[in-house]
Amino acid sequence: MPTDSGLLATVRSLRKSYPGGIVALDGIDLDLSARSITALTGPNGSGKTTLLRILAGRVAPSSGTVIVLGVDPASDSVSLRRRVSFISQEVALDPEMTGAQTLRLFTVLYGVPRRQIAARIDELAQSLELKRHLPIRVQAYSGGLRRRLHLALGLLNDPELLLLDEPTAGLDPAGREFLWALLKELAERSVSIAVITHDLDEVARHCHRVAVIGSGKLLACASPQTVVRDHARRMLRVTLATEALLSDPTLTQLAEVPSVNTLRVRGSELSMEILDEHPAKERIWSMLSSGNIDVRSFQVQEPDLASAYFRLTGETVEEQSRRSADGARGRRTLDREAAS
Amino acid sequence: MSAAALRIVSSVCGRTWMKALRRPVLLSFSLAQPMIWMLFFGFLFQRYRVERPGGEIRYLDFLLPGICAMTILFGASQSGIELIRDMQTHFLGRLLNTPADRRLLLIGKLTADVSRLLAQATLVFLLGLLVGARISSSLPGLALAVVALGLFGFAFSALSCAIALLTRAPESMAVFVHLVNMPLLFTSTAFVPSRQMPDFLCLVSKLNPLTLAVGALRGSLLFQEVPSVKHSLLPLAVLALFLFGVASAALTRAAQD
Repeated sequence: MPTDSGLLATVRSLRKSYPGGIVALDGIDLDLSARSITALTGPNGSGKTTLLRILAGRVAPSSGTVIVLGVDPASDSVSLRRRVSFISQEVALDPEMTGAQTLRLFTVLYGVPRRQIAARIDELAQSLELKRHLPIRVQAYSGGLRRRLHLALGLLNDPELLLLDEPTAGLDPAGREFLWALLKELAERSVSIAVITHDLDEVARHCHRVAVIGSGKLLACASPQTVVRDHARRMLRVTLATEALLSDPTLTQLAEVPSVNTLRVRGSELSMEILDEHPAKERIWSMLSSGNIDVRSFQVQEPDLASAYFRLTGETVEEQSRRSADGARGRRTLDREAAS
Repeated sequence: MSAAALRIVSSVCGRTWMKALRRPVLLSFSLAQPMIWMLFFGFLFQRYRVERPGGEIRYLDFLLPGICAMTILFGASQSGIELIRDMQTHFLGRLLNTPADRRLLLIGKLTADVSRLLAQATLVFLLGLLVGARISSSLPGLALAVVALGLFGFAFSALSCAIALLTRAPESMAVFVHLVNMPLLFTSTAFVPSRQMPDFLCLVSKLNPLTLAVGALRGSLLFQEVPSVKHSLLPLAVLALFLFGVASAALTRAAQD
């Protein structure tokens, strides 16, 4: 049951470090309320999964206080395992079992009364559109179907707190919409949901709160609208025909324009925060034209969650995509840029 | 045990059986191995007579209980493989994070393993009769001997599970066979009676749990003896309980990772 204040989980000064001095979480404070979807987002390796695993009682914190449904999750409480579901990023299924066998086994393990088993499986299979796939072995399931069955197992116990680690990974757009609709429906039924996701558009559309985590610290935690208002900036993105040279006097002048806050140069891409849209845009355009710089695209991006995220974490779009595409190559490039 | 606990045990037991039956090649191989041993050893030492106070017994008759116990030992040592597969698919973590008592999950798995091992040993026993082994058994003695074999199978299946949970590597099972099974087999009375062993080996064989299981079965099958509760069932039960505790602790540790 939620406490009087409606909080299902509270985290205070949470710290988790691993042998070798790696600090995964460094003084996190977070509250999870009933009837809400909280997105946890941040760069890879920022500590999001560790936080979720601590809330689920799978990892013990190094220090700090964590209370979930009135219990310390590190106590490995049976009652907590009954009331909290952790849906890991890895789809944890036995490929040799059918969907029906899997669901039936878990209804028994969750202690669903014998007379309610068939109805519970039927209800979940219906809502997750799994029904006609239940007699088939999991090894024949598509990735999306496996993820749905994986989710179904986490819902069998009617959890009060649902913790999901990147549940939309590998789902097609229809599958993602389906999942978010389901999560919203669960939240309306007073379930508290914490979900790790990198899709900021989906966060803005579906989540009540967003917690941005970077290097183990909580950088922001509020509604998506508040985070945008407090942290996002209007960005101007310019693509040149050739690689931009830092020695180019036009670029030096650009950096000195009063309404330009931060100028980043990468290859042929320029990105800058602009404080006002029209005067700055016109001034920059005229500077690039008079400097005979060939411009391929010139776009103003309104303040949104993505720009707030990048501002908070210090990451850029390019860094993020490069990191996920090729970690090692990305690191070398950043080192070079830092050196220059 | 409550009805809910029984349902958990039977569900996990049913899943373990279902998975075993879906691997007929593995099942038949673990059955073929002791049969080959019995045929080779049985015929190789056909003329060897086992001395016994009051007479001699044929080697094939003497060997059959040893091979049955060996079937249990070899099969039990493979129990952990299924847990390693479940760890690789992350399914084990999922099972362990349900509110079900983890000891019940382990009991369900071990019950399936022990019942399968006893079924395999029965098939080996029937083949032994087919190739000419003779027995003279009493029902109470045989029933207690089966209990002794079951306890032995339970103990070594639990040990195999503990090793699998702690090492998490399929290779560890192969090491287990060589480091545990072979020394255990050749220092027991499965193939040779203790009175025909060198003195030091005779002492080791008396401490060997396989000797207890073989002795109980051999006594009941050949001499209509009823296995001693104090000297064979109780030590095997204590060993089974201890190794079950070790495996339970390893399972709890696995849930935290």
